Amino acid sequence: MKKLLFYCTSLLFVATFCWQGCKKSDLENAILTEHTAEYAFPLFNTELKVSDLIGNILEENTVGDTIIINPDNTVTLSYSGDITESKAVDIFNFLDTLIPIAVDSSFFTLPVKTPDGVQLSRVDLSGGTLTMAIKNTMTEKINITLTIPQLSLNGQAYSYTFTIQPGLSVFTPLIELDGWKLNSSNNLITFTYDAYLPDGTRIPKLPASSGLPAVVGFMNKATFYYLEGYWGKVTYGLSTDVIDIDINNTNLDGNVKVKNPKITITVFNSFGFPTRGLIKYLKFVGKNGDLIELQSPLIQQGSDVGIDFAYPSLALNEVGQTKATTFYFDDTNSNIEELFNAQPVQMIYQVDGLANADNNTALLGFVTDSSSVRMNVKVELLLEGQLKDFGADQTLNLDFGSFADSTAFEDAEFKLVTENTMALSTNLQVYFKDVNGNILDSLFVGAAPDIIKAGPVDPITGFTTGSTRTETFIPMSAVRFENLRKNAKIAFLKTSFTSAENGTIPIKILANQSAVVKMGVRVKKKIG
Amino acid sequence: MKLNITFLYTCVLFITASNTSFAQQESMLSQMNKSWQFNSINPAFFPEEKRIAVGLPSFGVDAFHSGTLTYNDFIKNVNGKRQVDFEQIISKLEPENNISYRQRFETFSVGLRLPGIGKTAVSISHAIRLNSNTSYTKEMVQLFWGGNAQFIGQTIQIAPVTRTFDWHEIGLNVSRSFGKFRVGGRIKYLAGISSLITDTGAQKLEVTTSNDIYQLNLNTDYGVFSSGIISAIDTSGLGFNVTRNQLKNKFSGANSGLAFDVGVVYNINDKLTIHASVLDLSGSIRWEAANYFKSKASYDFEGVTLPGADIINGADDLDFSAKVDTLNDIFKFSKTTVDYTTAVPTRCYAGARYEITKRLAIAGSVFYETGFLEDKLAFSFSAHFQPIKLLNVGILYAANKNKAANIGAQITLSPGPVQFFIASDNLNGALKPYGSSRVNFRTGLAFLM
Repeated sequence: MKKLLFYCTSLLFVATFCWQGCKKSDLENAILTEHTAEYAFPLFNTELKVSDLIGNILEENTVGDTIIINPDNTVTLSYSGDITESKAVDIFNFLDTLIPIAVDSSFFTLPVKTPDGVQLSRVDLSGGTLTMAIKNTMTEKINITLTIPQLSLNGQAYSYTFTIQPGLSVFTPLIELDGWKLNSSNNLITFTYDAYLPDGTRIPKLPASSGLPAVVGFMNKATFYYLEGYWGKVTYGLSTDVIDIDINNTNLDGNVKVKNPKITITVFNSFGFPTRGLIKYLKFVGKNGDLIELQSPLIQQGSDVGIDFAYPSLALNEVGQTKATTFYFDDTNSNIEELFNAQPVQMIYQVDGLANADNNTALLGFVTDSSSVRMNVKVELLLEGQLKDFGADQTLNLDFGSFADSTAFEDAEFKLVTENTMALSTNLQVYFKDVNGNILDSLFVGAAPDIIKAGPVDPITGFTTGSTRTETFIPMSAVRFENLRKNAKIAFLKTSFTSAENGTIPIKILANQSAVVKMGVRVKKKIG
Repeated sequence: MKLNITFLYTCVLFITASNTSFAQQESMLSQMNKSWQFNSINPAFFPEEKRIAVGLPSFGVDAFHSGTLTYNDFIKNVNGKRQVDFEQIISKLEPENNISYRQRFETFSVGLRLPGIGKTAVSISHAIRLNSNTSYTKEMVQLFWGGNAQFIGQTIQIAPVTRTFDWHEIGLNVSRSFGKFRVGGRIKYLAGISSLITDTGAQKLEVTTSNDIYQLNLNTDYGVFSSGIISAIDTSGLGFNVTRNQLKNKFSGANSGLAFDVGVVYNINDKLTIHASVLDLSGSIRWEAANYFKSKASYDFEGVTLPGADIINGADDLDFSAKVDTLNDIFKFSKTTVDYTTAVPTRCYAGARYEITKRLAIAGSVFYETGFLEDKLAFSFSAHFQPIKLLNVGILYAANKNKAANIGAQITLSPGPVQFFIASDNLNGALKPYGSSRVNFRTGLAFLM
């Protein structure tokens, strides 16, 4: 019995041991203990380039504005107005009308209404018509020859001869004036006729009929190829335009100081007589609508002070040529810098032309049908200056509706890194508002930080000498985020820019400068 | 969560190995030359005055985890549920951690002493063995458990290195006495079951978290040979999905090899016996048509790159998803079919036993293993007392590279023809396997007639 008990005990021991050895581990059913893990990963990176930024400003506003990248990579913003053109055919269109002609004697002079101070000596006509009518108010037939000695075609003066029965009228053919030439020395066109009775008696003056002279006619819409004469001292309108200054035409506000702004006016003149440009006014429209006038020795209203345009000379046989004249307003001849620092949004100007300002009585000038005065006005802003709290507010609609449930994380900390080679600092605060506009929270606690700090600047040149790295940490608890996710409907962004050294020194913005902006996040996540 | 689940699985495997930790390499058994299982470490041995020996299923584990890590550090019971907690583990981990695991499951053995001169004995045996050495970094566990934020500004190495395989072993053993000498030899046919071997030439899985905006860089040059364990590694869809084969002990001749054991026992006199053996000589297994998975890539994730012009122009649609898609399948594991050979490490035992009295004996032995990731050497001494005929108990002192003082014990019951023993080279680990980083035990059950 003792032996059997021992065997049984031994076998039980063996069986128990084997069962323990073979028992499947329950590790596969184990679960992870609840704990917090923290993950760090990048979110985004981008590079904001000066060229993209300025290109966008220009693109959103006036077509034709340009960025000029200078050889030293400095950037000039150029705002151009339309190229205005004053054509001679529009200014000197005194023939382009219906001119009645009433010849009340056998030698009659018709005055031509030229612009003040202009005395024609030669007109090469390019169009228009002329027709004359003669009525025989005599009781006998008459023989009559009508002549316009100053009007000729291929050297032959205008002349028609008719025999007219008593009481009847005849008409000259309708003459197309293209190719005819008109010569005058005193703005008078002479009409003559020689009328004879059948017996040879000369009639010095045909009797009128019902108050109308016996010889009448019309010159209609005469145009010219070439106009030559004496241009006296006379003023005529040249150009009026409005130019938008886009960089100030945003919702930005703050204190901007621009260094050496410049307005360049280029005149292309093919009028063959001396013209002086008189800037009647050049005004800037401020943001509040106020008009501020440019002051310069070149602008003196009511005087003949102006800029003499180069012109093609008749004496030098320069007919058909165009001469260019450029002049500008900058801080050497105007208060433009002061005006631009008031952040104007528009420039308005009017320029008139003053012919023969020196009143040269011997001057003989010309215009052709293609003569014009073209004028281009550009506002050039070298991106050099100072900014102080130059800011913009932006309101964005916000909807976290489909955003991840904040229960997915405990806390998060965003890390915003900027590497800036521009000499501008950017200050940012974001306010989150509810549907009624009440502020719920702000991205940064307390004062808005400079999230982008200006690169180091050489105070002499205004160029940055390197890059400044800025790290901004933005904590966000799950509770805060949940509040924003549920209630925030509006994000109010308040941004302001300040140039280096707190906006105290002029800086240059270069086309090849940029700010790298990148963000990563550390997220604490509950697991298990 | 694919990554986490797989990562967990991998860690579970490692810790499963460690929960049965390690002491020495059957040092106690090598000093128990009355037990039939002593034959497994010295083919010259056949129980004296016995004609038939039948070995029944017995089990031995020899496991070790570096440091002081235990199973209880890893698993805790909360409200009746087992929870995996790496928090305690991490504090105990060393920068580089090693797991060694040896498992021997002897299904059966039959020995027969032949009549005639020399008392020649023959036996056959079958066992299933597993050898595993694995190393992993503390950073790997920290990354899995605590995320990568703790490594901002650092590059960490997370590649685990392993050399794990198991196999069937069928042995044919012959021994014969020549006077006081008894010599024996065994030829063993090895049939591989499965293997998972990291490529020694490609062991890099580096993760860098930049201190800028936490940009991530993954740099891999990592290769794994697998037979019978992993059939696919799919890292597409931002995941890390390992397809495992069902682990079975099915016998197959597809992966085969041979190994040899030789041994000698010398009875100097009635009291003193010395013995020596070399096991698994020239042992190797050729794995046919296995898989080789290789990832060699460098991937940088710097976040979504947004064109600055788009932001300035107020683009309506900033497409994040397309950018995130580039994270897909960054490991790009390729799979090729290869054949490869793994060597079974050679083990050597040498020892002596002195019978002080009929009931009291002392013994000592030296163990040496070579041919695996690192050589192992252990010394041990033991004393054995047999208070009654049916019971033998012993205590052992052992020293090895990892610990200078290990206390082991054995208890043997011999009721009639039955012989059962349980032995350990590390008593603490055997009694509290879940609370020790080193566990060793060996059981033996046999009928001797």
